[in-house]
Amino acid sequence: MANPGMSRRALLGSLAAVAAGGVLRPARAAVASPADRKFVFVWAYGGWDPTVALAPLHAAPAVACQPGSEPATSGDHAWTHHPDRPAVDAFFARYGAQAAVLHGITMASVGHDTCLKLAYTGDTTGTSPDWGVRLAAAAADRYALPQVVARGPQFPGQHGALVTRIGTSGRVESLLRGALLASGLDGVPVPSRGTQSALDALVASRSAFRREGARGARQAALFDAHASSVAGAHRLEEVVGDVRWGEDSALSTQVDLALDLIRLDLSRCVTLAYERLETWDSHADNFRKQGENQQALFQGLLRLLDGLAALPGHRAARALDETVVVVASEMGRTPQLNGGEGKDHWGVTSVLLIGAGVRGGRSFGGYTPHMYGATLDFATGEPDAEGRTPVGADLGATLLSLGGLDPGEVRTGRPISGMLV
Amino acid sequence: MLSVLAVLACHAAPDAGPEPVATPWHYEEDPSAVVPLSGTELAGAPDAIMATLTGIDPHDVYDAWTEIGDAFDAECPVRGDHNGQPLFEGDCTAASGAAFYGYQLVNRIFGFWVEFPGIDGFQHEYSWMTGNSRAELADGRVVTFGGDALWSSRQDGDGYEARTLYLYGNFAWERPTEAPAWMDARLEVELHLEAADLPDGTRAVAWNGGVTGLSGVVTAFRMEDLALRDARVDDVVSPACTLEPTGALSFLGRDGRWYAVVFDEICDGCTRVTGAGVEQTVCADWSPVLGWGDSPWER
Amino acid sequence: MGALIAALWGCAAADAGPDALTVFARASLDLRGVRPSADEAASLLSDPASLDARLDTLPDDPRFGWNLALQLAPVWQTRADESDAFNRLAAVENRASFLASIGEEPLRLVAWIADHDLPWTEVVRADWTVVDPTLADAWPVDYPTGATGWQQVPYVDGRPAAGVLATSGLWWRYTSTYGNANRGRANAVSRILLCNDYLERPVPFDPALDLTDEAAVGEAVQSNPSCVACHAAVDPMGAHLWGFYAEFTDVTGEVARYHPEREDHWRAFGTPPGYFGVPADMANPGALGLSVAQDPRFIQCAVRRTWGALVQREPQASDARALLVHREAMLAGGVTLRALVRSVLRDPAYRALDGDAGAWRLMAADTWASAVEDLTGWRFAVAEGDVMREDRFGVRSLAGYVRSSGIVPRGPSPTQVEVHERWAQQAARHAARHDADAPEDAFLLRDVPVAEEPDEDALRSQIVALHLRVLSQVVAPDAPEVDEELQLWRAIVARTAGDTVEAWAVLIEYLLRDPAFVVY
Repeated sequence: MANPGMSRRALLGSLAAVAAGGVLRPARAAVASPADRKFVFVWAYGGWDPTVALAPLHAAPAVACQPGSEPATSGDHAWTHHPDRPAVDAFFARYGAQAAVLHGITMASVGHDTCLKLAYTGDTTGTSPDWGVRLAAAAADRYALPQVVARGPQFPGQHGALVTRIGTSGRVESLLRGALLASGLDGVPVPSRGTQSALDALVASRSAFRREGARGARQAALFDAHASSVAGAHRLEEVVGDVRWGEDSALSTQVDLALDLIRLDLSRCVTLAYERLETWDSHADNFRKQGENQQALFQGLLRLLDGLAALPGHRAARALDETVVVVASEMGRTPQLNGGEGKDHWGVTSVLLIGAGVRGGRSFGGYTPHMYGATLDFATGEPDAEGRTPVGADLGATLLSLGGLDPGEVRTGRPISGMLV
Repeated sequence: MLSVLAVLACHAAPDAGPEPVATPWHYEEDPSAVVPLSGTELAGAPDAIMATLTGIDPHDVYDAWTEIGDAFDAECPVRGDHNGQPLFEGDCTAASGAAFYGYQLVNRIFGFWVEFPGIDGFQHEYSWMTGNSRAELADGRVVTFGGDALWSSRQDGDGYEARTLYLYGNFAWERPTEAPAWMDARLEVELHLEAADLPDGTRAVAWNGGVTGLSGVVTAFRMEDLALRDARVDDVVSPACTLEPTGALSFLGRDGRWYAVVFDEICDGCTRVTGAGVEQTVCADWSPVLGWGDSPWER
Repeated sequence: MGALIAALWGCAAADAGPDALTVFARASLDLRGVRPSADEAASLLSDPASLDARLDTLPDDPRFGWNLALQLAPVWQTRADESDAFNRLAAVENRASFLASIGEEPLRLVAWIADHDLPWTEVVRADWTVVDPTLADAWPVDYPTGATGWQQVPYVDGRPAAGVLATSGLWWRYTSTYGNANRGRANAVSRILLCNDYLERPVPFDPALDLTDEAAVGEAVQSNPSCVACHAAVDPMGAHLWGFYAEFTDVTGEVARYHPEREDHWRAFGTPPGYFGVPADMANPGALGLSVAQDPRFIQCAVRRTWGALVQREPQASDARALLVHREAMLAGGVTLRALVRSVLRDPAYRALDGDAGAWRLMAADTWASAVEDLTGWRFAVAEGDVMREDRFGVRSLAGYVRSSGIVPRGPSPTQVEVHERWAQQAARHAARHDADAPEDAFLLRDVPVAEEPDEDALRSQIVALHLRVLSQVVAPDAPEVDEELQLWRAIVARTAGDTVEAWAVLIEYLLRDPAFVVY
């Protein structure tokens, strides 16, 4: 039987190697494989009006578009230009080539929650896991925090343990810094850092000792997992100061967190949200509210994409080349304005995909003259009267394909393979 | 290692021993435990339903909101705006000690004119409350607003008056002094009422929906186009009859069984009640339903 | 019956002390949420043959019902309270606690059945539920004035007797849209209580079917062979559940109450209520519950679910004989969970320690909290609530293995290691200080004067005792682990200028963070 102890120097040496990424980090390929891709979801919960940014339907008489706005084009992309929304123009100028817009995706409901479930899980049960956690679960062993939800929806399904909600309470940072579970024991000094470091090292060696004496495969596997978790915990402790965990709910704060998690290779999936239900859900004063929101949303998006473009990737040249960004709202708005200059719920909308594996530079799908979803050929992504209107489950199947998973996991959806490189 | 072997040697032989035989599974309950309603109970059902229908006054919902208003302040609940309507929300405690949880939209508009194509315009008054809130006052008063309460009246220039009630949800008012019976009983209400007074003095009423959570012989009932009228008010109604309505009515007995009240074309108030294997003729005078004062919910 | 079970297995009790202790510790953690006491461990070591008899007593423990319910929680999947599937606008005083209680209601009913040795049929036939004061504020129940905690109470809104199928908690968790017509709920009933999950079946979707066309879908579920295979069973079951259809999912009372007037909404979809081909004369959860109770699969599934939760794997074809033995034991014991669990505890599959069959499992977050509390007297409590009960604190999910919504455990996670570290620091110091101040009532340090430096033999003896109590492990006084821990103890004493209390705290913390504490 091995000595349960391990020299502290040897242990710290091995931890340092892990921390430096020299042991675990593979050589960078030019293109990350689907299984290596990370995902960032950006949700606009409340129901956005596609005509305000992504869908310039100005030529459709039955659809009300904002006065003062006009269609703009660049290459095969078309979007809605408005002088108050320079961020939208900047986005298409800078990242249009990597971006694809899917128009006419249809959720068979006009309720926020139901549409959200359909868009993010493919059904209405609320118990099915969302696309993000499915992707995270497929690579859970490789990431310390497989899915991080900064803000926005989560449907963990059976994967609750993979999801870390950051919110604005800073619980993860508190945990890592030792504050989260430090309250309640009055007058007891916190163990010295030296003592804790020594103890951490002993726990790591005890873990290896247990592994050596494991009784059979199942116990050995659990001890293996524990040992790697101990190493992962050390990794988290080491990088806690390198992550901007954030103390508010601003989209820019969330973006910074996502960039740090990706830079440090801590997560496969990060969920962000520009949640302003009172204004996205624009039953009154639609164009002003939607316009302000879209400008703010695209500002945040530019911050995210600029950051990803500047970051070296772990498995590709740039982080942008190994990351898929999904920007979505659970529903659209009605084609026409109501009596209060608002637009009401409409289960047809547009979704924006950017980054690795996405056939960018163009849009897919479309709208009928009355703003229903048009049919398309999923294999080519081209309009096709014999094709089908995309639904939330199809978005999921497409994302699972992008992430190297079997899209057949989504029984009611099929990947729109024409959107994929 | 010896100890390990000892445990396995003892327990690793699931094929050993006599072959188990599956015992058939039967589960039965005594059907006589459910006693259908008696003839007397069935006979009293229409009156119980009428009493419930005429006892629900949506003003009580607004009165409850008004009564508790003094206990709250500008900090709690927070007053905001939702598409132009006053919105109250918060999980908070006011200086008085009154607590408010949830949100509530309250909108009352009186005496405005609405322009419709082809109609010169008519006066419209309506009150609408919607939300999901609970207010707990320091003196023990508790009000629960859950759902929608909308009631309106409109008059055109020719003397036609129409009133609408849409009450959907649960509204409860607990207070040391006597509360309106229907709110005190914590009923679950899903009522849609249309009532009309015509210039010639005749009137008509039509109900849809139902009420649940009742205690007594009738624990719930539902109506589909249950209409009573003392004159022809439009082109599609059956002959006027104040004794017996048209439409569909069913009720849930305290025995857990549904009973259908089958109205016929004979205007005598007598109907067949069927369900749970019984059938009985029940007679009732429905005309009190039309006997309202200013509105069907004000008597 | 016990003799019969033993005969069927063809074996008697284990006679190896340490292994008997390991098996008993496994069962104790699973069914009581705690490790064996020092006395229990000593007794077992001196009389390993008493293992069966000791295991038989576990279902009589007052902690049995709730801990068994926690084991079954991954099947019920009702405890994930921080989820957008739940109402965001609950008009109650403590929303977080309310949402946690909603998820617990079905499990508390299961626990009540287990603790009161009631027939398992009560789970679908009871005319009562189990609620706490938080739920009683919002649910239409008759909660006794002045009572506290979880109580057996009747619903007073006229809903039929249907056990868990008539709880607002279950249907708040499993919602339905109008168009889905309770099919998802019906599948939940089938999955949980009949072990028949339609969503796990391969579905050959007809590519010609436009899934966005409501009318076409409505027609297809009644005539398209691809659809009928499942819908012919699911739709009639769903037709029983319209009374729990909520028009507005953001109104507390709307979701909390039963709506008998909606029972016949099934007519809008054309499929009448029934149960696997047998038409029903009523459309309500009571009728559905009776049909479920009469279904032979209902008992088989209870056996299968309980066995799977305790053995920590799905049963295979080779386990069929074992499942039959447990079924017979359950029936012979009055169709109770106690009888069933006692039988499963005798199953070699449950007791297995070695090889590929070793039924080792990872300690769940709830069990971690209760086991550490039992050992040290320490449980994290904050003013806002119980950090292990409500997901809003994030601790439960950071602790790495939530038994709320999935039977597949994730292995230990980095954040779990972090939570255990912080928790163990506090718990260990609490215990060491307590044991120094009140040696007559010590949690762990019963063999040494905590505030003094004992001789080496006493030190080793205490460390051995700690291994037995904290890890349920037998180690020799000169084992390498003991050597290492002795060195650690002395190093801390030296570093802290003789603070033996801190040295014991560090040692206890170390044992609580030992992977052998969480792998059992």
